[in-house]
Amino acid sequence: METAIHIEDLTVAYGINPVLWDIDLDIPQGILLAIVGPNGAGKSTLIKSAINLIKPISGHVLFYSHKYENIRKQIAYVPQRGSVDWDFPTTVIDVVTMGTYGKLGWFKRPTKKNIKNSIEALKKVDMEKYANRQISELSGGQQQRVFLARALVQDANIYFMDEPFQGVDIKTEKAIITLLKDLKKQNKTVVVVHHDLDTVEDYFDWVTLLNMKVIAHGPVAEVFTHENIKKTYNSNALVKLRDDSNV
Amino acid sequence: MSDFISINYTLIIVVLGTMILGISAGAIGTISILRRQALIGDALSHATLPGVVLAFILTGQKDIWVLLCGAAIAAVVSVSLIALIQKYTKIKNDASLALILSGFFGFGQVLLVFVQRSGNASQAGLNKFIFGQAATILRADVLFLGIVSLLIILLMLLFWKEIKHFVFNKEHFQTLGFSSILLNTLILSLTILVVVIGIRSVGVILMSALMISPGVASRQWSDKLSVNVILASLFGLISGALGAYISAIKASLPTGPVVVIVLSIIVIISLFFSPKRGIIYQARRNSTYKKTLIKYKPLVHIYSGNDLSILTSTELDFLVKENLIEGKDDIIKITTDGTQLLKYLLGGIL
Amino acid sequence: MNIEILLVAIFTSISCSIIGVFLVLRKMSMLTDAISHTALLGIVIAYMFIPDLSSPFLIIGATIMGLITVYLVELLVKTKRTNNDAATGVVFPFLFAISIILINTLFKNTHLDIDAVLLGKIEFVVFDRLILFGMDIGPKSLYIILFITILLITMSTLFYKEIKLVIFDKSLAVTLGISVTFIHYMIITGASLTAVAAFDIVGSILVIALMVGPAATALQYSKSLFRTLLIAVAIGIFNSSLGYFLAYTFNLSISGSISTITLLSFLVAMITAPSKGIISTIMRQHKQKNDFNLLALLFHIYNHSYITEHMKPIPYELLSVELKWSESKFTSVFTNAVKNEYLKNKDKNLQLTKDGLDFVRNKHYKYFKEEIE
Repeated sequence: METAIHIEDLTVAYGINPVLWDIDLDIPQGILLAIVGPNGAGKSTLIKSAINLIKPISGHVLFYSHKYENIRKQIAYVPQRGSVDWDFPTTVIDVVTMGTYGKLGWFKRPTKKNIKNSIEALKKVDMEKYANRQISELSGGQQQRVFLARALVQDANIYFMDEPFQGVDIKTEKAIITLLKDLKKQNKTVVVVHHDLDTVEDYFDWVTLLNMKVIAHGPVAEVFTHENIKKTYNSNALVKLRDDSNV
Repeated sequence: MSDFISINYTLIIVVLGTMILGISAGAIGTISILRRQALIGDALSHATLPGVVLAFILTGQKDIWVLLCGAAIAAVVSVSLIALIQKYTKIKNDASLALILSGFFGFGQVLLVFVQRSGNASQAGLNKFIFGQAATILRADVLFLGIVSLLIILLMLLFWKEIKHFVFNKEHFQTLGFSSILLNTLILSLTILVVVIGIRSVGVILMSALMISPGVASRQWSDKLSVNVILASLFGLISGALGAYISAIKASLPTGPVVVIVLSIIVIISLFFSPKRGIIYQARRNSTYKKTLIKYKPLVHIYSGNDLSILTSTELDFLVKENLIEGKDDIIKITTDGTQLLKYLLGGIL
Repeated sequence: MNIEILLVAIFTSISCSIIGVFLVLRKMSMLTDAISHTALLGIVIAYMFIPDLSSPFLIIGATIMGLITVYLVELLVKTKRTNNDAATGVVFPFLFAISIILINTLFKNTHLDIDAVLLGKIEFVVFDRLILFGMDIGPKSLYIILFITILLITMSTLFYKEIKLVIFDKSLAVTLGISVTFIHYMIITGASLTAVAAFDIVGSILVIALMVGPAATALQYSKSLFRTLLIAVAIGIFNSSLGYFLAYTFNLSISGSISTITLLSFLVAMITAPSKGIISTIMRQHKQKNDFNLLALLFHIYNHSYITEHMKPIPYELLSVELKWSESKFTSVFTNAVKNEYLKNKDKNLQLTKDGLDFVRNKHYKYFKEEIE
């Protein structure tokens, strides 16, 4: 398997509080990867620093051996739903079309073809009925599906999603998971920050157990063990490791 | 000393008045900031203009009580309107403040035309309203300021526990059976009171600074609400006294701006130089941390139990030389010094 | 009526409305308050070097000071020591106070008139003429504000989609490679420039009304950014025209009158706007309550007869007992259901009609976002 994302030596701190420690990860192409860990484990920080939204103290991330700046257009990011103001005066179709802005470049307007693509994307998340709705009228799950549709029109090879299952209804959860499997079939790489341990085995084929540092990383069947999970959710995972420090 | 007092009787009065105002504005301002309503004082002080003018038109009196009543009524109306906008529209808080502030002020300006037309007052009156003129504070005013400030402080002391709880967690406060509406009304009333008595001394535009700056400065010195409020009052007192004194001995300087500049200097000092929180301390601390972290990364690597083969012998030698690790029979052990350093690097989690 | 004053008022409104929409959506409304005050310091400082009140350097100085204000506020917020509101409230009174003291000490006898700064001098704009090649072509202010209006329209047309994206979702903008900093400071520069030109005309406090008012009003009506901009401009034109007309007729302060109208027109929109206004909100809540009651009643029958009892009708008495409503409430909801032909009443045995079934399905989906069979 070709490596899609290569993370090396990544360390991030807010002030003097370390969030990520010395992260080394290789994420192969064409997998659905869940990043799992307790609150404050640095899950969101990990994907945000991968796409330059946060500046790390040290380390770097490569996508197909390229720096992020040079391969930006192949990477889509779905932020947490709460990160935007849903009272903003705009429609569903408009939000989805925003995904094309990067490829359009400055000054150019979205074309009919762009709009058509957006409608296609909305169909995939079963939201085409709502195309002309104002976004403030949507439920939480519908908002999430709009965000997914927007990522789809970016037509990327690598997708980062921050808690897409957070606070959504069952219908949306099913829609998202169908979509993820669909992306995998197209040999795309999907990295999802995930909360719910119960669904990891059903939804994903790879998992990264994270608590400031990588506790385990690999195919779900191999690394999603009781012992590893316990290690991850122990609030002082790093302290535990002291026993291992005598090599 | 008694000589000084007799000569500078007016000065003492003025300084005293502004000082008292500073205490109550600082105290209630701190609460407003914590409620994320810092700019409510700014909006309210502007919104009092039509009340003052209307009171003057209706009664024909320039009596301070009448004008203050008018101001208070206008402030109450504007607060209610802001609450209404918040409840029924999706307009954000700052936009509704801006709207009420400017709309009311504009209306006051329209009303002023009627006053001018009747030849009763000149623009000078408005000028005083906008910039304040502490120099005209009389003994009776100081008494009045004192009484109102005392009332504000007493009410705050009386409801201290409730205010603290309410500011910290409104929802939880309500579940304990307290009335949120009542407390909200209380805090807003105190705010209105301070604004209304403050306008006369420091003026409309700078009233907001008198409420916000002491709170911002005090926040740099402590995390405790009570300490915050006391410190803010103290800062208000110092700047009020100093500002009024400077402006009184140099007649060309209006009180409000001088008070604000003294306050701003206090804020700047607090922001930059306060221990533990100050910008300078934090910046130095963060950069030292970053440098240390990068320098001793190999130690972290060993500690985390990662693959050791990627470490070079130079890196290992460096750590041994710094007495952070020791190697015995091919086993690497972290020394006490090393553990200490790791403790610091891990932000005290170890 | 003086057509020149009206034109100045209208173009001031247009430019303020355009930039105001962006500022309100960026939650920077109170920053207009700050910029319009601190611009004075820029003017004072520029005046120290170029003592000519009609010099364009004064506008440049004021604009730069607006940018500095925003920068200082952001610096304070970035230290995480203060929130945005408090930072604004610390920075702008400080800069404003400095300018007042400078004026009071250095320029006591010059024409830097604080009253004019705060209240504007739209009444007098016609006396300051622009003379080109010996020809009087109209008031100077008109050309300045016209220039700014064209600049803002150009800016928002060229960068429409970038501005929209940066305001709505900063993180997407960053990942798409759009420079958030550039767009941000472009908006701030536009705001600063507009505030400077406008406060000379209507005064620093009323600039806030012209910027925030039309935007907030338009947001009550519109569901897209483009329409919000158009409606805001239209409302701005309406407010300034009506405001000027009233001021002219009753001999009032023009800027005061315009900002009063601005507040009033917002309040009217807040109350009457379709779908977002107070009246329609209350009516919707009332209807929703009726819907809920009806749904509760019909859903009960639905559960009873379709799931548990295989299409068996439910007796009237049983229903009224099981719902535990007061008698008057039950009767009224029941009558409503019968009137709408949502249920059949056969010898006091109740059954849903096809309409009733549809109602249950639709409303259940609408309110609970969950489909039922």
